[in-house]
Amino acid sequence: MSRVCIIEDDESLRRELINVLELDGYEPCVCTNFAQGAKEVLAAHPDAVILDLQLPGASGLAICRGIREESDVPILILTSSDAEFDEIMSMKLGADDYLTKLYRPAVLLAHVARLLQRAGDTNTSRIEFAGIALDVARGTVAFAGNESGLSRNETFILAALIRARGAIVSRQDLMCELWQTDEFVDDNTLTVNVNRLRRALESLGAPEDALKTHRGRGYSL
Amino acid sequence: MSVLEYIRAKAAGLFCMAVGIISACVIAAVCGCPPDAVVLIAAVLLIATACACAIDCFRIKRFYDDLHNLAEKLERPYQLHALMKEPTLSDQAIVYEALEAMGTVSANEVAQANAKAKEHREFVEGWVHGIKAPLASCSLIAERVNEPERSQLRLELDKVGKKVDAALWYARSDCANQDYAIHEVTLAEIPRKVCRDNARFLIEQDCIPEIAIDESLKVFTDKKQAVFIVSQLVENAAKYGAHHLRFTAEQNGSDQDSGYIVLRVEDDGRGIPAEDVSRVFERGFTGTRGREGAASTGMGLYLAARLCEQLGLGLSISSVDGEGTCASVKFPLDRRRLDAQCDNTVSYL
Repeated sequence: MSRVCIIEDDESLRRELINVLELDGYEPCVCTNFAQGAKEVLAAHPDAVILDLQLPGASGLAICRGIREESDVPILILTSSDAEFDEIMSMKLGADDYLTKLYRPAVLLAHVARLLQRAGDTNTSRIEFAGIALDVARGTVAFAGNESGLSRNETFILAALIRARGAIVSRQDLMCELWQTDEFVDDNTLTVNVNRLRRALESLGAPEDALKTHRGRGYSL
Repeated sequence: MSVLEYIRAKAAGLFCMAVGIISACVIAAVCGCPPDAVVLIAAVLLIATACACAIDCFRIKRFYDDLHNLAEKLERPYQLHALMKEPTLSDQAIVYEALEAMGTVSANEVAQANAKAKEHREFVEGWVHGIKAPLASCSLIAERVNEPERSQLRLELDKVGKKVDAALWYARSDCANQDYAIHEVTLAEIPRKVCRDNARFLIEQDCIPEIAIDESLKVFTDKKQAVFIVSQLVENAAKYGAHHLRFTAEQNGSDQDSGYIVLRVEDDGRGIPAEDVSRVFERGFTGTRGREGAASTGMGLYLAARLCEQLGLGLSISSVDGEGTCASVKFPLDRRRLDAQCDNTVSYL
């Protein structure tokens, strides 16, 4: 399990980040002593760091530099500032990625997964539900020992369904997820993609109703 | 100031002088001076008067010409006293002092207004950044809510986010000297970002984008600002019934002085009525269509046009009522050019 360290001063946002990361199979930990931020983070030996830039009593940029001096751990900057300066400075100080707030959870998770994958962490992008295991980075799905490749769109659809853990995901949500990857699909394309995904799952030996259609509401696993 | 104007201004004084000279000559003649002496007296007096007038005219002319030139050339004429030579003549000194007093007051007022505008902008920026943390929390909390409430919540949160951004850009559009970050941007990335950001709204409105832009086209611009501008065009299209949005781009001319790349956003929406089309960039203009739906504030296109003006981009809109609208944004090839003026004239497709 990959450990992700969160440095965020807003308590409610911190709680939600922990929640989202836990649901996706990460082991989140938090750092609240901002003055000693870099030290505390390094002591926790995380696989990735999510860092807010505006912290009370400390500068996120300073923490970023402090971590980078000691470690190569991937750092994702999460901030409400859209100032060019912050973005450039954090990249210069060794941050790997930069997201402005009002992110979607799926976008955040995709960024974290990509960072971990780049850092050579192999067990990160595998998510699993109801016996269906998906490797998001490689785009492969496994069921009962059989493995098969999926297209980009199919991978993202299945990832959204697995993350929902059996709850219904609306067609609009799925389209939204695909749009975030610059695939501006329409309703028909989505239907085609879902049907292909269903056939792929069936060919692996998954039961016929592994991917359920809920008329007018969406899909679920 | 011409000689004629001077004579007209000093007519009364000159008339008195003439009367004086004539009287002196008459008195001299009556007292028995020989005619030659009378002519000589008249000539001396005339020459002395002319000299006095010439010197006076020259000094006055210098002062007023200075004043006139400075008032015309200066961007802020209320500062002109600072650039004038301090006059030695008493009547000019009074004018100078009055100008100085006015200038000082005006400069103070302008400085105060600027400081207030800056303060306001900083407040809005701080407020916007402050509100983003709770908004981000809300969008994460929304993940735990069940359908259909989750989708509704997300849609509304997206709307709040966009309104918040509009407030930020509005505050920024007021400040003339703000810091841009002009970079070379892959043009196709601008509409892509807009569609990602507006995904939920566009899907909700059943409006599907098609981006047919050559990946090799690059423009010089501030990406965030350009994204906001194109966002306004896209939101409008979706709001007014478009189901298909087509982004295209082409380069016109290749020399730095006149060449530009134009980004077009075409939609198949309701279009804009002919009588409204020339007013779409006006502040607060909602038009007949706007009033049908409650969502129009008349700020989107106004703000887009303002920001375009600042960035030196050209923005124009053409429409056929009932058939669709085409908005285009012109990016000059030379990043230093600021001439692609906003032209809010409208043609028919």
